[in-house]
Amino acid sequence: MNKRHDHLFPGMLMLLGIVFILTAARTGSATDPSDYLDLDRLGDRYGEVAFDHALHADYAACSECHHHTTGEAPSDPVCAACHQAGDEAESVSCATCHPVQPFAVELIEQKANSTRYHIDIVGLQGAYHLNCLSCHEAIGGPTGCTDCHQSQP
Amino acid sequence: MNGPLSRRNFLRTGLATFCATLIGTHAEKTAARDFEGYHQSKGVLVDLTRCIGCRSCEAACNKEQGLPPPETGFDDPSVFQLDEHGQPRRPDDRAYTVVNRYETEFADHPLFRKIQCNHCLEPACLTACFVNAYTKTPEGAVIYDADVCVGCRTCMIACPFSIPAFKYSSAFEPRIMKCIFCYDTRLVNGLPPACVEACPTEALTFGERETLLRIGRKRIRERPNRYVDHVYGEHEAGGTAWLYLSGVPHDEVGFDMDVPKQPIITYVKDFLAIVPMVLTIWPALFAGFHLLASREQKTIETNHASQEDSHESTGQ
Repeated sequence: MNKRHDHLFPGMLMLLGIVFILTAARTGSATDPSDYLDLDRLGDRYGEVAFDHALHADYAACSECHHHTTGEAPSDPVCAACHQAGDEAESVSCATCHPVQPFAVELIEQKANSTRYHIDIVGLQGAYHLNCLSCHEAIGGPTGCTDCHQSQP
Repeated sequence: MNGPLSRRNFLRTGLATFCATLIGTHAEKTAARDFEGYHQSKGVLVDLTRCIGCRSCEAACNKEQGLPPPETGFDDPSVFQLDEHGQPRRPDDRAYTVVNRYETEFADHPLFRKIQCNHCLEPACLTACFVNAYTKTPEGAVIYDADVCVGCRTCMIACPFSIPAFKYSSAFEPRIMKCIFCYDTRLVNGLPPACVEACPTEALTFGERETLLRIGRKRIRERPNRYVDHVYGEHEAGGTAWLYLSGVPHDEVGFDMDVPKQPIITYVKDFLAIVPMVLTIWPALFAGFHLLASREQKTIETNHASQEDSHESTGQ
């Protein structure tokens, strides 16, 4: 067992090194707060997904994923009916608006209020998959499960 | 004819009773027809435009309900092929839910549809079951009690969606197998069913049925090019807890559009309302007719006899 780990360790170090170099090479691009994010809020169900934020910032406008929260005009016309440019939010984190447990009892009760407009905000899992997959399909990005997720044992 | 039961009185009372029964059954029937489901009962909105056919829901259901392992893995796309009879898969005693693939001329990519019990507001299986093995719970689930089931399988014929399946491997301990909305393990605790939680694209949305209808209409209104203007299950079979949005006409992806818009029980209610009337009124009515008829006969006979007597006496 130990011997096998001895072989693995330098390999992992090298991999980490490569990731580090790649990340370092991207510093300076206009993204905030970090260029490499570990999407781990759903870590109990999936292995964390290493998300290259800087790479994606090259492909898409902030509003494609962050809607209006970064202060850009939302690209979705449905959102643009109310939210305008400069309508930034305190937090740009996905999980601030897209709950990890979208069907929690208190959220279902809130949605039952017939005067509430936002009754259809998808959960975090749904938000990732719907937004990521639709764009990946459109521009030919990877769409396989294990392209983002580590395969489960 | 001046006895306690004159012909006129009898007919009058009979007619009054008949009318009262008719009015009574009519009022009852109207009240039952207006049932629109339990307040705050739960449902699931299925958005077919979001389903990617990953079958995570099938795997989650299998695990949650402790069903036998599938013949091939949940990542095997060969199950999407039609069987030797040209039919897509159906839920059975080994799987409470299945996802099928449909190729249509309306989309340039395959479409997927999840099938399971729709948990009707007024379930036909429940009405058909003469031992009351089925219950529609206030939470919205249609659950089944194997302890009282006699294995008649009437529910399988009654269901407009052909959902209940019979466990033929245990015919002496009859058991119907169908989706129970994860009632005992999740729904009673306010949790969504296992399939909903597993769906990566939130093609399945769990919530109060009334809210889901509003969400469905909102999606159609905001993106009219994405959806056909119909929420399947809003009225089908009198309304179901599971509702479906689709980007192509629903019949293109296997939905039965001939399912009536009213609860299946409506078709037998009129007949069933007559049964107690026939059983209670008809015996009395016809017994009365018989009594009257035989009484008249008796009177005629008596008169005849007395006339003969008087003839005989005058003859003497």
